[in-house]
Parts: sequence; structure tokens; C-alpha cells
Amino acid sequence: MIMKLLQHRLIITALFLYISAYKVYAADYSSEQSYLEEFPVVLSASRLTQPLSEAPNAVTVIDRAMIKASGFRTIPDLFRLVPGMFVGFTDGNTPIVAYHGSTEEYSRRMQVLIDGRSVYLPPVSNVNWEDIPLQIDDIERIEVIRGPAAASHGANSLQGVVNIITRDASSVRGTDVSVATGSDGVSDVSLHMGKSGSELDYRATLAYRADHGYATSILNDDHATGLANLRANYHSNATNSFDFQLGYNAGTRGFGIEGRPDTDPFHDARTSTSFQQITWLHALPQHDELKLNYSHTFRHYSVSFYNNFLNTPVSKRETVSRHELELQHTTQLNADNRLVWGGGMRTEAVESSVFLASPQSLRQSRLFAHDEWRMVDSAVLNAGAMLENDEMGHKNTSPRVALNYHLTPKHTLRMGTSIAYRNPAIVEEHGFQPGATPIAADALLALGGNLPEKILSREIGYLGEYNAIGTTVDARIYHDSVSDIIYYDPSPIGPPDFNGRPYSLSNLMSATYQGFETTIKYRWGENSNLIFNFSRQMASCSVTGTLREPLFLPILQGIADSCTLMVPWNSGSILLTQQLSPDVHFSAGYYHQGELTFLDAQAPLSIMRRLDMRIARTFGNPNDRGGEVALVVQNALLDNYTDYGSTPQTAGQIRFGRRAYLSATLRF
Amino acid sequence: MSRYWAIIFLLSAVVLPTGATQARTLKVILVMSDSTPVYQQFSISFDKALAASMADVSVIESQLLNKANADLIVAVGMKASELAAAQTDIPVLATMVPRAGYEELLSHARSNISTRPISAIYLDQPWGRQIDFLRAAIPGRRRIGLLHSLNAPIDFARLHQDVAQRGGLLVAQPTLSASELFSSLESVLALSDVLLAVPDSMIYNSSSIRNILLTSYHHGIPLIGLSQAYVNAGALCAIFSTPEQLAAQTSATVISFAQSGLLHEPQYPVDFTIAVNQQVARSLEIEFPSSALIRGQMDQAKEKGP
Repeated sequence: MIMKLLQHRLIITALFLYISAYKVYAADYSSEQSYLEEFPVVLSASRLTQPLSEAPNAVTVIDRAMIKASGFRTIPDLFRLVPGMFVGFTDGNTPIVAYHGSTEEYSRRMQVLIDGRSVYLPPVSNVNWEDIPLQIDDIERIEVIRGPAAASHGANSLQGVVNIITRDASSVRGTDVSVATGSDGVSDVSLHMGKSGSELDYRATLAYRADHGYATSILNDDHATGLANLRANYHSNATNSFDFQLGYNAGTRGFGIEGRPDTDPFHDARTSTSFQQITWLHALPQHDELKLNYSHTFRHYSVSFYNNFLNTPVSKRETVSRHELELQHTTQLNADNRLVWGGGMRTEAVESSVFLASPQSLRQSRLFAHDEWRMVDSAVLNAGAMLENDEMGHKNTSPRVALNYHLTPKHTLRMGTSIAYRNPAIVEEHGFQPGATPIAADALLALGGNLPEKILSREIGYLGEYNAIGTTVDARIYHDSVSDIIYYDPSPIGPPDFNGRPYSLSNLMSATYQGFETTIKYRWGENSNLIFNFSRQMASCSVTGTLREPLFLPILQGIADSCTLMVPWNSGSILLTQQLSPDVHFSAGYYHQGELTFLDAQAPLSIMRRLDMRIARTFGNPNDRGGEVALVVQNALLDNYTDYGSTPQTAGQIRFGRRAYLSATLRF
Repeated sequence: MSRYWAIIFLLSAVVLPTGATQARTLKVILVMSDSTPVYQQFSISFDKALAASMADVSVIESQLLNKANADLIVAVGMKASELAAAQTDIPVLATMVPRAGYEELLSHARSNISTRPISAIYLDQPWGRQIDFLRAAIPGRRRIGLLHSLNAPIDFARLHQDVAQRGGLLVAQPTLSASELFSSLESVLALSDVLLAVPDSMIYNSSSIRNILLTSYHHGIPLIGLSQAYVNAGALCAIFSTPEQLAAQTSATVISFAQSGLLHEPQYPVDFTIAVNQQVARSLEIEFPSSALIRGQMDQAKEKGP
């Protein structure tokens, strides 16, 4: 009897559960709760981007659609879509991204952030692009700020800022697998998976990327990287959310140049980078917000080969560890003023047998404030400053002010000026490199005591929307003066030639960069887009410091005189995107760069022209249980694509003819 | 504007065939679905509005309806309305209820419901008003995306027509289950200029709102919400009626009932509020007109008809 009753109750319960389950999946339009429900603040101040027409700098945004259309496999290549930006490779596995004349192997005058975590690293303050544990398709958007922006983006924002925003933890749902294979050993595979729930979202990526570098036998520039990263967001209540990120990559990069079996034989370097990051976002009343960000980055580099000349094995290694903490408060002071202010601290520890004689550590602190003042409906004044102290004796104040005036709601004029500093890199203060042979003197022996490099930047910009013809225009003219540029300063004692003496690094030069940049976007119809970028640059340099060995002044003067050649007179790109049918997409990118000479290169680089094309076909539902097959052809017209080389053997070589790769993505 | 509507409303109440004017005090029971601040706000505003009108109405707030003795029950929210309809034979004015809920109540309620006067003041805005609002506020964004579950009580054929007549295009995307929500969202966002939220708890709830807002923002597509809470969370804007506005309309209806003994047909809210998230508007480079301008254009559109 009892059993029977129990059974009966179970049936009723099951029926009730069935009904409730049915109720959950059936929309409940009959309750007023949909209108009365409270929600957390989702699009808080730090998630909302400032519109371009109100930003204090010229900004180029590279979004997911552009990344896909470009057909590029690696992040550095994407910067070809930024007017005035230079992308080059010392060899097939060592990219350089530089802006306005910093065209050298150790390009180090930009701030590069990934979700607020700076990735330019000591001892050189440059970016090891191939060692970032980030897959190109995990990028949501890249904002490239053309010009100094220390007030809002922190230290090293001298010539510009690359701000990479990765996909939110909630934006990947389900699983997809991609493979790519093609010429020059292109062999990539990636797995993305993610899930979003009511309190926890996560996404994870596993990827492997490899190629044989440039199609030249002179260089050993193979490259293979495996990476894993995880992003999770925990948001248990309406006011707090925690974002966790972890990433790791490990790879090998080929080094060595043919014809140098003694000092630079073909050999491999091993690199690995890991990071951990946690961001706490706390919503305050009136859309104010508090953001606390902590990150730790660790990079390891090691290389070993046999030096035939010395008849001894050579082993070099470098480890870098960085901890960074930043607190930022965004507050709407009143209807017309929004203030972002905060402070940060960073510690770095470097051990490097490549660049340093002894381990070095550095602690830097900064305070910043940036106010966006809507003076009248038609004018926005952005003003701010950063105060920094690197505890190596450099205390700088970097102010920025810009006025955006809306001539009409669709036409905006921007006038801005700013000063920013780049504190000397550890290598510029403490660098030490022993000579490669016993008879060669020490190559680098930095004496330190340098001043920070300083930029004074002025610009006038225009942004216009011509909706009737589907066109937007972003243009600016700029004038940047960089002073106290740190350059090679040979020792007064040593062999009679410039390259044979040990050198220090000193504030020796000043440079002026001026020019015009524009981006024109044209859209004709739902599925047809064209983005045109153009830049005209002029540079001039002068010797402003005192060399330790005055004999070399004519050489330095010669370098300063040839500085006009260090930027291409004309450069630009065109990215065309056309949807041919609901499931066939075509895109083409054309890249042009005028002749230029590098700061540290052996031969001038001739005009570069390159046409890349991509055609893709999607099948199924691209968002769910579907996929895509794509073919990318780079340098399709077989233009002589050359690149920079810092040695006579590699300079001006044709790097690749036509190359192609095929990719397939399956989502399930 | 609201005064204009109130006058029309009161006039229409007067012109309706009236029964014998009741000389005695009208006894009203106010029954609430919940005691959360929204309902309390309604109660306070309702009392205030009646007091200001000097009408001869006495209100007691009660949840015990079994042996209630009153001339009218004002039921706030669906739960209270269901209770009032089920447990008494007293005339009921359901207020702050969605139209879909009220109609479901009528169709499911016991037969005694038809024997006594019953009416409603809806919480939701009429479709025509919502479309007029979108056309006035963001005229450049013509394609209105609407994500809904399969059994949504929406007359899509009519809605398509209403949107088209006002120069827009409706992109309605059904979603079959919660697991398909985000792929449906991506599909609707790909074809829309704006996403209009509907009171569909399967799609819009406190668990999903974060991802809906982030995804639509990444597509550069604003969400149009249903309440101030949506706007605070990150929706571009919303039109909705506050408890105060609904309480004022309810008290006017009660006064009219006191005078005529009749309840008019169910009504949509007369007054409404426009809320805008200026930060979101600026970030999406949407130039949002002033509320006065929007209301002016909505009135013009209404007068002209679709």
C-alpha cells in the first residue's frame, strides 16, 4: 500500500517535473516578471569603446571581419592594414612592427597591450610577436592608436599603442577545429571550445602553428609554436565579475645564416612564454566602475650551438619575469565629465646571457588620469596625463590634450598635442654582449645614464561620414619631434672601425616625422566593402648628443642625413571584401610600400608590392554545426617581395614568390 | 502630452453609457502579486492619485479574498489577478499585467468570469507604439531583429505588415531551445540593424542577458530593452510604463468605475517613459534625439496612421 502510494506520488512528481520542464522551454509571455527583472550592468564603462569621432587620437580598428578577409595567419601581418605602420621580418620567423621610422630589428617605441597586459618585454622593451600565447582567431578587435597615448595606455606609448582585445569568455560556444596546410611548410591546426552559463563562461584554445619561413636557403628560419590558453569569466552577482586568463606557448625558431658556420651556424632557439591574469570589475552606482588588474608574464629563451671557431659549445639563455598591478576607477563626475584615473606598479626581473652580464630588476610605478569633457554638444575635450617613475632615476610627466569638434554630427575635426617618454630599456642602461670571437672586442657595453626618449606630437585630424555614398573618411596630418634618441655610441678605444669597437648606447639624435595618413572606407551594398589606407611620411634627423669618440661623428652624421630614407615616402593598402553568394566570400588585400632603408640594415629595401587573395565557402550554419573551407594566395602577382635583412647575406633577398594555403574549419 | 491623454481618457469615460451614479463610497480591495518595491511603489502612487482626486473611494490592501466584500478588486500583477478571478465574483481590474497573460487568464478562468465586469490595464506597450518609437529614435536602423521562442503569442503576419507600413523590415528569428539561443542570436544579428527585446523569459533572463548584450554590442547592434533595468545593463533604450504611470491610469479607471459602474475595455498604458543609455549611444555612434522630439514624431506618426 505504502509502495503504491509512493509510486503514485512519484508519477505525480514526474508529471509535475515534465510540466515544469516544458514550461521552462516554453516562453512565458504571460508573466510581468520580464518587465520587472533586475539585471547586472553588462556594458560597463570599460567595455564601451569611445567612438572614433570622440577619441583623442587617430585610431585604426582591425576587427574580426578584417582579420578573416586579410587571410593573414599571424598577428604582426595584420598591421599592414594600419596607415603608416611598417611590418617587416629580419627573417621568416622574426617579425618587426614599427611606426614612423623605428624600422630596426629591436623596434621598441610602442606600447603593446593584450587585454590590458603589456607584452613588450625587457631587456630590449620590444615585442617577441611569435612568442605570444595568442591565436589570431581569438582576437576580437585590435585598436591601433597612431600617436602617443601615455595618459590612457601607460608607459612606452611613445609613437603608438597596439591594443589587442581578445574574444570574451562567453563568445565561443561549442567546439571548432581548424587545419591549414600550404606552401613553405605552412602547417597549422587549432581547436577552440567554449561554453557560457549563468555564472561562468569559458573558452579555451589549443593550437599549433608551423612554417619553413622564407623560401630562401640562406636562412634557417623555420618556426613551430604550440600554444594553449584559457579565459574564464565568473560573474556571480550583478556588481562583480572576475576574468581569469592563462596562456602558455612553447616553440622553436631556426637561426643561423649560410656561410657563417663558425659564429652563426644553423641552429634552433627554444622559447616559451606563459602568463596568468586576473581582472576584477566592480560596478558602482551611476555607471561608475572599478577595475583591478593583475598579471604575471614569464618568458624563457635558450639557444645552444657549437662555435667552430672557438671549438666550444655556446649556450645562451634569457628569462624575463614581469608582475603588473593596476587599479582604475572610471567615474562620471557629472553629465559632461567622465574621469578615468588610477595607478599601477610593475616589477621586472631579467637574466640574460644574450644581453646582460648580471641579472637586473626594475620596479616602475605610475599614476594616470584622463578626463573626457563634453564642453558643448559639438565639442569634446580629452585631457590627461601620466606620471611615471622607473626607479632608475627617471620621473616623467606625459600630458595629452585633444579637442574634437563636431562641425556637424557627421563631420569632426580633431586637434591634439601630447608629450610622452620612453624610459631607457634595461639593455640600454645595463647591456653587455661579449664578442663572438676571442679577437673581437665586447660588442655591447652599455654605460647607462641615459635620459628617456621624448616625443612631442601634434596633429590635426578629420573624420567624416558620407552616408549617401557609403563612405567614411579618417585623415590626419601630424608633426612628431622625437628627442634624445638612444643610438650606438662606440668606445673611444678599440679597432679603428665603427663596427669593431664595443659600443654603448647614448642619447645622440633627434628626429622629426611628419606626414599625412588617411583611411577611406567604402561600402556599396550589404556585402561589399573596401578599405583604403594611405600614408605619406617624411623624416629628418640630426645629431644632438656627444659621441664618446668624436672621430665617428661624420659616420653618425651620415646616418642622420640618411634618416629621410628610413620611412617609405608612400605606403598603403587596399582591402576588398565581397560576398559572392550567401556562402561564398571573396577578399583581396593589396599592400604597397615605397623604398626605404633601415636604421640597422645593410642595403635599402626596394619597393614592395603584394597582392593577397582569399576565397572561402561556408557550409551548414557557420554559427552551429557548419564550417568553412578557404584558399589563401599570398603575393599572387609574383611581385618581387623582398624584406629587410640586418646582414649582407640576407639584405634585399627575394623572400617568397607566390605562396598559398588551404584551410578548413569544422564547427560542432 | 500625458495630460492630453488623460483628458481624452476621462472624456471617453464620461461619454460612455453610465449607470446610476453611485452615491455611496466605492469599496476597493487592492491585491498585490508580491511585496517587492515595484508593487509597493504602485500601491503608494495609487493611494496618492486617489487621494488627490478627492473621489469617494476607500481602498484596503488585502490578500484574503475568500470572504471579501467589495465593489471592485484592483489586482496588481498576474498572480493577484488570477487569484481575484478564481476566488471571487467581484468585478476585477487587473493592472500591471502583460496582455498575453491577461488573455490567457480570460481563456483559462472559470465560467464565472464572464458574469462579472473584468478589465485590465496592460503593462506592455502596443506594437505600433514600439515601432513608431524605433522609427523616431533611430530612423537609420530599419531592420528590426526579433528573437523569440517558438510558441511566442505574437501575430507575426500582422507585425511584419505593421513594421513594413512604417518603412521598416522585421527580421523574426525563432529559437528552438536554450542551447540554440546563441546561434539564433548570431543569425538574427547578421541581418538586423537593431535587436528588439520581447518579454520572452526563455531568451531574455538574468543568465542570458550578459551574453546577449555582449554579442550584440560586438556586432555594433543595439538592444532595445523592456525596462529601465535593461537600459542600465547596456540596452540602448527602452519605452516602458512605470508603476507610478500605471497607478495613475488605474486610479482614473477606478474613479470612472465609481461614477459609471462600468469597466471600459482593456487598455494599453497611456503614459510611458523613454529611457536612454547615453554611454551606449555614444559608443555606437548613435545620435539619440531628445525625448520631446521622439514623442513629437511618435504623435505625428500616430495621427497619420501607419
